[in-house]
Amino acid sequence: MAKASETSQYVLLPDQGLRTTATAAGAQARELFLGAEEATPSRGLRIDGRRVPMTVIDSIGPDGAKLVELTPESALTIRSLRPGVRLVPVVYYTPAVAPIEQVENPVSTGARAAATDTITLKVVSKTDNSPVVGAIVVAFVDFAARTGAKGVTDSSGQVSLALGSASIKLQRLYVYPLVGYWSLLKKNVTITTGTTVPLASLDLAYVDGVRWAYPNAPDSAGKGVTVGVIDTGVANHPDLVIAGGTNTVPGEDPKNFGDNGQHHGTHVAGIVAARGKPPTGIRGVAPGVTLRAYRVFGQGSGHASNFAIAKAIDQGITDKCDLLNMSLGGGQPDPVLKAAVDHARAGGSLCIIATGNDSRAPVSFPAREEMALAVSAMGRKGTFPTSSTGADAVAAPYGTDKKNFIAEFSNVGPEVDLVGPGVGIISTVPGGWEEISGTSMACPAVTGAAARALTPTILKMKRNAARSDAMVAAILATAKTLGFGPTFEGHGMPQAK
Amino acid sequence: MATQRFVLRYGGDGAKPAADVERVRALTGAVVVDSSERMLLVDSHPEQLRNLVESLPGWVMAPEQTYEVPHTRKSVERPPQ
Repeated sequence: MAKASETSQYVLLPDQGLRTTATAAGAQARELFLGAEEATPSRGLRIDGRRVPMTVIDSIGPDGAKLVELTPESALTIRSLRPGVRLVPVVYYTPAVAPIEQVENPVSTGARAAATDTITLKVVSKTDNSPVVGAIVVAFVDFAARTGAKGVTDSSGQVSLALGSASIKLQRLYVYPLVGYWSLLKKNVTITTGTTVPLASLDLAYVDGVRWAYPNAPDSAGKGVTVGVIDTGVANHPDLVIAGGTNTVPGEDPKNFGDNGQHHGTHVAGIVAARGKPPTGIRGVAPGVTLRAYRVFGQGSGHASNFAIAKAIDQGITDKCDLLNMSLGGGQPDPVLKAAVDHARAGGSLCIIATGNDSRAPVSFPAREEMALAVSAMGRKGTFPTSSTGADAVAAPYGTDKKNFIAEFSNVGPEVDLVGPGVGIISTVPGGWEEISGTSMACPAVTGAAARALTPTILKMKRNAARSDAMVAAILATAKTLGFGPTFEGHGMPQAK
Repeated sequence: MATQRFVLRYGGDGAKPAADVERVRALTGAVVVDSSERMLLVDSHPEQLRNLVESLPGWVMAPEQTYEVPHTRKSVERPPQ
């Protein structure tokens, strides 16, 4: 017999404020809130004739916010049937006491100081032995303690690693090439100066996670839908057609929305909307969408401010973006960014946000915002080489199909709405194609599938909260569980329409 | 007292009220660094700005904070001893 899910406490809220309104737009929410007053453990909550198990613990009034107790399955049902109400997991805050610093590696009496001996590796193409330039090489002597050295290959493919010895056994060696090659993970390998590390070239016809989930997207997929990519900018690329965009970084040229050198935004854009054809290019999930780029990370910078992100969301609403892909997050909850996400939802635009890459940590902000759709990452064995860093992401839970797994790096929790493929994903970057893993990759895959779920009827609706609710309902209706459970996959993976 | 950078966002209908913006600009020591239809990026003394914003209906205020490009690359935390 299947084990019943444990209940958790949530706050049931209308889409804005603490009380429902008597307007036509708020009628369904108001009816639900009034009906919830009569919910008992045995009767549950009635929605559209369905019984949803739920207990009301406290309430600020018949039409007001309620403290409720329910299972993750019940929470999914309510979100699906009434996307215009919010179910926020109850959070208990604790004082932010600074951790006491601990000495992790004490140097014993007589121990030598950190050594300066280096080992020089050469990273080359497995195909023709040519040097691989700009690859990030990370070598761990002790992986658990994160002890090791890091470097970037030079123009001859060489990298010097300060490992304190002329020959050393590594627990793990990671190589992350920038363009054109699969990443590499080697365990328990001994390296010396002169060791050569060959990398396999990317094959653009390879069936990676995105192409497994959403194969052979037709040119028309997503046509009529405008998707904004709020990220590090999007480069010109033979596989991409960029309709326009804006740079919202204070002090930078608003017209410069190209890639800032980080590759991230260009990679994300390709997953949504690449129009290439293998083996000379790649296809995204929805090649037919109108793609807009909003650069919120400064030139060469890995940081984006809440001001720049909120401004980009506002601009996306003005530009009539239907979906805003946000493969970013991880900071403290912030009322400005929350207000911007809510403003988008109220204005008929939907923010789809990555849950974060902190290895099973709670869903990060702003993905955890109730008015956004939060996307976790899964992987599938056989859609990346076992020698690539994607193999590092294989972890329980496994799905109904045991080849499927929730990526080890993915953040999870009750706020997860959907799951997408995010392990070993090949997509566009300046100057070529790159393989990257992350919830950042799962998010645009879901955004592309979401674009394909939006019907002309929905797209013609007035841009308001009802339109956003209709979009959410249509997107969730395409989702299919992979058997991970709601905490890991929400409603499941959206299927291509 | 040192200034800090804050984001002010107007949550009411339409664009931010010009009169509110003028009050922020007139605040001693406050410098508006950037703006958008609904927001101001302001360098100011925290308490003075907070007191003003609390008197302006529909505005929220938060310190400027940053978000990183999320990646899954492994990081070295210390060199070998």
